[in-house]
Amino acid sequence: MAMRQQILSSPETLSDLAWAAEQRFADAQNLLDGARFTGAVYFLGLSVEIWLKLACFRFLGATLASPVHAQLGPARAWMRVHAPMTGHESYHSLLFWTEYLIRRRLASARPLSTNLAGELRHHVANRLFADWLIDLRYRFASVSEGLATRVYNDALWVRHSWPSLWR
Amino acid sequence: MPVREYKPGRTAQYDELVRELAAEWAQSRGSEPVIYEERDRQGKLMHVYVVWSRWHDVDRAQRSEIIMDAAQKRLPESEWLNITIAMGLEPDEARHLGLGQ
Repeated sequence: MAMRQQILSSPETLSDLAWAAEQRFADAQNLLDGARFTGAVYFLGLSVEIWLKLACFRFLGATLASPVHAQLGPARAWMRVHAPMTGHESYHSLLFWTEYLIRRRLASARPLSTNLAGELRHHVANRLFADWLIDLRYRFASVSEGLATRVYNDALWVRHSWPSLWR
Repeated sequence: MPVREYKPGRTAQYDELVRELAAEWAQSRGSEPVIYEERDRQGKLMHVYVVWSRWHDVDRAQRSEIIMDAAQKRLPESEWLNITIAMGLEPDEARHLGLGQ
């Protein structure tokens, strides 16, 4: 089956997302090893975006079989009321998913611990959000090894922490 | 001549689908769209599935947005803000998932 048909034939699920995040992260590691820093940062950002979505949706009760697209409209509607200034950037904004997670947990009377919320803001809202956006895919960009390493370390924190972000 | 900001809105089709779905939510008028509401143990609305042939040209994320915009027009805030899954399905897709059988 052709790739397009394969992907469009069924709605993507949280399980698909989880596998994709690991695949993108492994691709990023290979690119880092080959000193392809811009590509590495692009894939690291995608991984982080996916892990944040997984944390949000799992916190709200989604299972690994739950469809992803069906949860985007509710996220947008909820954030339009609770954080109207935070744009979703076609649902790719790392800041949008960070705020959504923190605020939904707070609204559900199950807030993140101060420590975890602080680390999440530090690694994602303060750093990764500034260092990555989806538009990188259409731009020529020059990324230094230092920046790529920092993005890698921030992404590594998200990779290790996302299960704690929804439990 | 004054310069005014132009902000392109949603497509006419988007607005029309929101209007029609909201109207159906208020009062069922035909065989479609079919709206399935799933509630939790406390009776809170959690998931909404809308089966509709008119989803054909609408991508999956936008279907979810249209359902939420229609819900916002028809349901109290305490209800629609609680929705976590809003899924639009064409009749064939719904049958494939076993919805409504």
